[in-house]
Amino acid sequence: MKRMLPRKLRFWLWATLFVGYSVAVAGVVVDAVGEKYRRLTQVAQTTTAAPLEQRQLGAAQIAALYRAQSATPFLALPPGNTFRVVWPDGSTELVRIVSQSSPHGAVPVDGSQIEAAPLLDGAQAELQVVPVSVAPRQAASVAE
Amino acid sequence: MTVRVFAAIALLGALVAAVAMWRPAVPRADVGDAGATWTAGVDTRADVDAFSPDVATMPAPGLGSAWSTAAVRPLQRAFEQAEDLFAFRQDLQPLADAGDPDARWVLSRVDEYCASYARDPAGFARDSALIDGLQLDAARALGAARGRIGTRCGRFVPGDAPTFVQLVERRQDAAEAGSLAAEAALLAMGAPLQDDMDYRRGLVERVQASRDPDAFVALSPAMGVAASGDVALADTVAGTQTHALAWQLAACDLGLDCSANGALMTEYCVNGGICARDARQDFSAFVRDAAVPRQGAEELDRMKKTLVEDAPASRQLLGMVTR
Repeated sequence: MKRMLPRKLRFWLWATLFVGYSVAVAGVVVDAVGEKYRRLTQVAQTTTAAPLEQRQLGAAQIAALYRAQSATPFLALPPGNTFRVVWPDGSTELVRIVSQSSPHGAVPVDGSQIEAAPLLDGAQAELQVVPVSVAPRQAASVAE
Repeated sequence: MTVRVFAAIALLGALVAAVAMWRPAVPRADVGDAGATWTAGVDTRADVDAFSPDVATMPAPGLGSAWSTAAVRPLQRAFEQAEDLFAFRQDLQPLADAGDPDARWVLSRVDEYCASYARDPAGFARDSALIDGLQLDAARALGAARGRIGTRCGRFVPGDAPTFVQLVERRQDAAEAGSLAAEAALLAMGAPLQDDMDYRRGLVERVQASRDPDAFVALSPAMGVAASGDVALADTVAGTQTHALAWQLAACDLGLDCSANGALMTEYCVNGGICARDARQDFSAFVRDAAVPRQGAEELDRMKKTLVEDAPASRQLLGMVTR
């Protein structure tokens, strides 16, 4: 085995395996999609700078379409889950699911907003599932 | 050499894991005016019986007959059956203006149900066409549910769509007039009338004692993961998504319209993308089929039974319901 594979290749093989394992254990799933989300009414014009209401509705719409594609929709983005949404302009924020049946069922997490980097201009809306965190008892905000 | 290689790999792996697990701190969300005073009035449920919706807003005979009406109040039943929710809303408005708690609650339900359409009717149609074109597994059910909302809410315009804050305010009005369902919904929306442990626990007990299916389903989101770790609800049916589903199934048993065309399944499908592939399934069958494994279904039934049959029905609690 050692003779068949060059040393550098062995190194990168092990490195890839280990990094892949680490990512899997950490529970990160990245599911990047684009065109279908970007064209949704509540998503098309939404950025992290938009009013809270618009971001809530857009994020809930993305989550709904994500679930509609799942074979196990109840288990896809259940309440308490957090996911990262990348808006069409490339700005991004974390969103927490508080309800699976409400149009306001996704609440942006304060302090998680990252403005669009210039290179990301024109990027498509996408959704990334990040590790589950425990939901606060009351996550929805009526302020703003 | 080998030791250095493995040390480098381990370091790299640890770094990646740390980055993957990192997330920004989540500050506790503002839940609105914590100092809001609760001034629940007397129970004016009797007024509801005087309300008779316009026949034109009612469905053809036979529709919606698949569900029990034993515990459902007339206005909730009329909401589920009305074919033109705009006309239904107009009929209901005077009663709501007169302070009827159920009328105010049902008005807020109509507004919530129709909001996705009313916000942008043309955009709603565009989204429906987009979703149709995606050829999803749930496309047929999703198309049917969106079509149902488009039909029932077809006369709503953008000015009729409430914001989240307006919806909270309308429910505060309803709750302060005496609607338990509105009060339960406010807790689920993160804006309870009061925010202390005794109040939360008391509210859950009052909802359970009321056997009001609307109050059960309105409270259910607050009894899921949102209740995890809440000492006030430690020994109640609360804390996981399964618990929230148990409250919803209990509402079905108590008379909520849980049919495929009912508001519960329609909103799950349109707002949440959770649609039954089998159009014949009601909510109970759908949950057993898609949400829980077989052994989980037995646990779910136990929880539901606890909620429906072991309701605290002491005189003291009944007094609290109508205070």
